Amino acid sequence: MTKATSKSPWIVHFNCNSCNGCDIEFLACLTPVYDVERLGVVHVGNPKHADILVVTGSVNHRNRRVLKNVYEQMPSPKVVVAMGICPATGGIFADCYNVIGGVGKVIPVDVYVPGCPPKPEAMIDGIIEAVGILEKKRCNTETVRPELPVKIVKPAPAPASAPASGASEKAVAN
Amino acid sequence: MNLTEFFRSVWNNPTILTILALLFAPVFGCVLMSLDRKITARMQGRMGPPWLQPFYDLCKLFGKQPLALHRPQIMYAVLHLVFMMLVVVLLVQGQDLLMVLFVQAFSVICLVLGGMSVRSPYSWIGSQRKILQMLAYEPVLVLLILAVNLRDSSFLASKVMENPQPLLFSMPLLFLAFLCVVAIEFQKSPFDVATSHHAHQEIVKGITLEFSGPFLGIIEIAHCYEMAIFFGLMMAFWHTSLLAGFLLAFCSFLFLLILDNAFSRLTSYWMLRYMWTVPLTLALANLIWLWR
Amino acid sequence: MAEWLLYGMMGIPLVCGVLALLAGSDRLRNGIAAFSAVAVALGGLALVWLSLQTPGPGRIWSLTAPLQAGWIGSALELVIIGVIFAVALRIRNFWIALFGVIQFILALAVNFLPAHEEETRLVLFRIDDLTRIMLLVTSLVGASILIFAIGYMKEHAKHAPPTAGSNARFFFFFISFIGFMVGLVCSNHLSFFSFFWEATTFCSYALIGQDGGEARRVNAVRALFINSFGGVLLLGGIFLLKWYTGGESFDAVLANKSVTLLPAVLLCVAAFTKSALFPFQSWLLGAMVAPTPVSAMLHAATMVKAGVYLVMRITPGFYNERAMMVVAFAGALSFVGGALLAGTQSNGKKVLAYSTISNLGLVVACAGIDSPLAYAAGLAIITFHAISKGLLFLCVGRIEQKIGSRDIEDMDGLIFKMPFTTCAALLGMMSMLLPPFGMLLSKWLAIEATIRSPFLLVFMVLGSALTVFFWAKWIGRMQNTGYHEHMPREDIGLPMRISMTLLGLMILGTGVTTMFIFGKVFVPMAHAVFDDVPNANWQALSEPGTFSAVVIFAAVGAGLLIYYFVFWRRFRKENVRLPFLCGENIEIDNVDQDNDIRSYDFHSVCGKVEHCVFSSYYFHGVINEKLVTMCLNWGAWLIIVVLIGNSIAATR
Repeated sequence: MTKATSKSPWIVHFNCNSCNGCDIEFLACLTPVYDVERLGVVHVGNPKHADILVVTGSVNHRNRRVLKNVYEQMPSPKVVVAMGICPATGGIFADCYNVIGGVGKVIPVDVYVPGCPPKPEAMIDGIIEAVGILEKKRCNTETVRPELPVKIVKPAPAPASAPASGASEKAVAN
Repeated sequence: MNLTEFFRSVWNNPTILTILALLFAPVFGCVLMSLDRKITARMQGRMGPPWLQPFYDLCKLFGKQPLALHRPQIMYAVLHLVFMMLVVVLLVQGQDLLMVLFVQAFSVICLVLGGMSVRSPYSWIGSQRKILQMLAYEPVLVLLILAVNLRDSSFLASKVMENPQPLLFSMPLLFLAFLCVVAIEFQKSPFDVATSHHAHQEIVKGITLEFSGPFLGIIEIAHCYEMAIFFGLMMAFWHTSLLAGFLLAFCSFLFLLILDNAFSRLTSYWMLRYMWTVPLTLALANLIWLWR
Repeated sequence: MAEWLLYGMMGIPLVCGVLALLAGSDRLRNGIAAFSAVAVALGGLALVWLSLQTPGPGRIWSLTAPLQAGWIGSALELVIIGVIFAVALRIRNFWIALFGVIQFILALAVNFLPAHEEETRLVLFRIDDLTRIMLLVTSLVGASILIFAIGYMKEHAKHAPPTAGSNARFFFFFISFIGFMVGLVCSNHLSFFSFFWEATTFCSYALIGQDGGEARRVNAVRALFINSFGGVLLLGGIFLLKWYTGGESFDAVLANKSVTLLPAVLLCVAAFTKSALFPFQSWLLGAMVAPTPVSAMLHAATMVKAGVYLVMRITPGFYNERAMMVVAFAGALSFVGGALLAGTQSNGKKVLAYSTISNLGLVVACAGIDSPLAYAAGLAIITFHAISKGLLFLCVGRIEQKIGSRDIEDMDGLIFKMPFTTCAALLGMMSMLLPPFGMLLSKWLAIEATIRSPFLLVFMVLGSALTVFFWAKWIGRMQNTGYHEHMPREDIGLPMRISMTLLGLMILGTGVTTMFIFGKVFVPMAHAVFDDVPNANWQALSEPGTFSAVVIFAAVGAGLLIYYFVFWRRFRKENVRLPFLCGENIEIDNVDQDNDIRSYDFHSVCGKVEHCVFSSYYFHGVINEKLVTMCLNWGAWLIIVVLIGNSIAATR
C-alpha cells in the first residue's frame, strides 16, 4: 500500500492568486521534456481524486475560503505543496491590502518550493519530496489546522476632492 | 495428469472457468489500461508511466479516506461493479446474449444513477451524457446480437462459439460499427464526453467526479472488467482461433488508440447523430445481407 | 355458481356506484368505495379460480343463453348510444352527434340481418385464459386504484377548482367503470361487448371532465369524439361480420377466417382508438387533466387495456400475413414515437402517458408479429405494464398533491421529502426498465420474436433504447439529493399507503417469479392460441427457460449485502463532503441540517450567493413535439389506410 501510494501521486493544481508564471511552468512539467507521468503523476483537476494539492500564488481574502474548501474535499492521506515564493510568504504581493500571506496561514503546508517561478527540476523535486511525506501518512492521519490570521484591512482614506468623485459618479451614471 | 489434460479439464469446467474469468478479467483490463497509457505516451514522445501503474493506482485508491456525499451513491458504485461481474459470468456460462446486453446496460445505468444521485453539477452533466452515450450505442449492440442470431439462429453465446466460421467473415460491417461502440465504452476520443482519462477536461471528471478513494477504486475495477469484456467480444469476432482473435482485437485496440490521439473530443449531440447514422446504417446493411 | 359471481362482478360495482352517488356523508361513501374495492378484488380472484375448475382444453368457461338474450345486449347498446347522443346534443357537438346517429343505425341494423339458423343458444360470456389475465389485472389493479382514490379525493376536494363535480359523481363513475370493464373482458357476444365498450367511453368522458373548467371540457369532448369514432368503426365491424357470417360473437370472427378479415380489421382500428395509438393519441394526453386516480384507471387497469385486449383477441383470426405485418407496423410506430416524445417531455404525467402509448404500441406490435413468442410477450407486457403504470400514476398524483407540480425537474431531492412515495415510484420506474422485472423480459422476448422481420426490428431496437433514456433521466432526478443522516417519516394517509403497498408487493412478487409466470402461464396460452400456425417459432420459446431471473436477483442481493456490511456500516458522518463546485461551496457547519437545495449553492461575484439549476436533456431545439407528432400521425394514418385497403382487396 505504501509503495502504491508513493507510485501514484495524483495532483490537483490550485491557482490562488498567481501571476500564472508558476502555473505555466508547472503544466510544462507534463510535456515530453520532463514528463512527470513517468512518476505516476496524473493531473486530475479535482480535489476528490487527488493526493497532492499544488498551490500557486498568495492567499487573499476572497480565495481563502476556496482554498480551504478544496483542501477539505481531498481524501486523506494528502499533502500540500506550495509552488513558488508567493504561496510561501506572499512574495512580492505580501504587502498588498488584500493579501493575507502564504498558503500556510490557511492550510498546513508540507513542502515549500521557492522560486519565481521555480525551475521545473525544482518543481519535480518538490513533488518527489511530497511523495515521501505522503508515504508516511495514513488515511486517518490527523492534519493540524493552523491558526487563521486576523488581519484587519483599513479602508482606504476618502479622496480629498469630493467634487471630482461626484463627477466620476455622474459619468458612470451617464 | 499432464499439463494439457489439466488445461482441458479446466476449460471444460464452467464453474472453475467462471471463477478464473472473474479473477483474471480485471487483471487483463489493467494490462490493457497500462498499454493504453504507455502507447499514448510514446505517441506523444514521452516515456509514460511504469507498466504496473494501473495496479498502483487501484491499490492506492483503496488506502484512501472513504469520502462520499451520501450513502446511496456508494450503493450504486457497488451495484455497478457487481453487474459488470455478472456480465462476465453470463458470458462465460454461454447465456443469452441479449440478456448479457441488458445486464451490461443495467450496470451502466447504476453508474449513471450514482452520478445523478449527488447534487453536483459536473457529475450531473456527465451522467446525462452517459445516458446519451447509451442511447447512441445500444441500438448498434442489439443489432449486432440479432445479426448473430440470424447467422446461428440462437441467442446463446455457447451456440455462437460452435460455428466453425469466424464471425468476421459474415459481419465485417457490423465489426466496424462495433468498433465505434468499443470506442465509447473505452472512453476514447472523439466519444469520451461523459468522463475521460485525460486531465482537465471540460466537465472536470464528469460522472466519476464525486466518487473518491475506495469508491473510485470500485468504479475503476468495474471499468477494467468492462474493458476486458469488450476486448473479449472483439476477440469473439474470430472465435475459431485464439491467436487470430487476439490479433484482431489487439489491432483494433491499437487503431482505437491512434484514433484517440488523433481526434479531439466532439459534442454529445454529434456523437448521437453519428452513431444513429453511420454505424447504424452499417449494421443494418450487414443485417439485410445476412437476412434469409 | 360462477355465473352468479360474474353477474355480481358486473353488478356490484354498478350498485355500489349508485349507492356512492346517493350516500349523504363522505364517510359512508368512502366505506362503500372500500367495500366495492375489496369485493371486486376478491370477486375477480374467485371468478378466475372458479373458471379454472372447468374441465376441457383451455379450461374455457362459458355462459350460454337462449337466442333472445342477444336482444338484451342490443337494447343496452342502444340505450348507451342514446345517452352519448344526448350528451352530444347537450354540448352541441355536431360530430359526436353524427357518430351517435351512425352508431344507432348500425346497431339497429345488425339486429335485422339474418342470423345463423343452426344456432339455438348464444354464448354470451366466456372466460378463457386471455380473459382471466385481464380479469386479474382489472380487478386487482383497479381495486388498488380505487382504494387510493378514497384518500386522494379527500385531499383533492380541499384544493379542487370551484367548477369541480362532487365526489359522489366521481365515485359513481369510477366504481361502475370497473364493473363495465369486467363485463367487457368477459363478453363473447359482440352486442354486449359493444355495450360495455361504449359504457367505458362514456365513463371516461365523465371522469376526464370531473374538475370542470374549459381545459377539462375540451379534453373530455376530445376523448368522447375520438372514442365515438372508434365506436363507429367497432359497430361497422360488427355489422359487416354479421353480414358476412351471420354470427355476432368473437367465435364468428375466429371461426371463419377466410371471410372476416375486413370486419376484424375494423375492430382492430377501433381498438387503436381506444388504446390511443398514433394517430389517436391526443385524447389520452388530454386525459391528464383529470384527477390522478382517473389517469391511473384509464392507463393501467381499464380503458386503454380494453383496446389491446381486443387486438389480442382478434389478431389470431387474421389469416392474411400482410395485414398482420401492417398491424405490427402500426404498433411499432407508436412504440418508437411514444418513446421518442416521452424523452422530450418534462411533464411527469405526460411522460407516463407517452410511455403508455409506447408500451401499448409494443403490445400491438407483438400481436401483429404472428409468433407465439411475441404473443406471450404481449400478454406479459399487458400484465406487468398495468401494475407498474398503476403504481407510477398513483405516485405522481401523490407527489403533485404534495409539491404542487408534476414537472420532473421539480421532483429533485424528493426522496428525503416523501420517502415512501418516492421509493414506490422508484420501484415502479425500475420495474419498467431494469432486469429482472417483467417489462424488460417481455421486451427482450419481443425483440427476439421480431428477428425475422428486420424493418420492424429497427423500430423495436430504437424504441427500447429510447425507453431506457427517458426512464433513466427521471429516476436520476428523483433520487438526486443531499446528505441526510436519517430518513424522515412521511405523512401519508392509510388508503394511499395500503394501495401503494399492494401494488408495490405485486411488482416485487411478479418480479421475483417472472420466469415462472412466463413459463407456466403465458407460454401455454400462446401455445393454445397458435395451435395451428405451422411456421411458428417454437424453438425460441424453449430458450428463455435456460436463463433464470434468480441469478440477477442473487446478484442484486449480493451487491446490497456487500454494500450494507462493508460500506453502510462503516459510513461515518465525518466522511461526508460537499460536492465539488470549484471550491466555491457555501460552507455549512452541519451537513445534516442542509436544506436540500443549498448544496447546489455557490458564491459568485462579490460574495453573492447563487443557486445553480441543472436540467436534463430534453432535446430542446432538436425535436419539435408538434412537428414530430404531425409526422407520426401522417405515418399512422397511412398505415391505417393501407391496413383497410389491403383487407378490402383481400376480401374480394
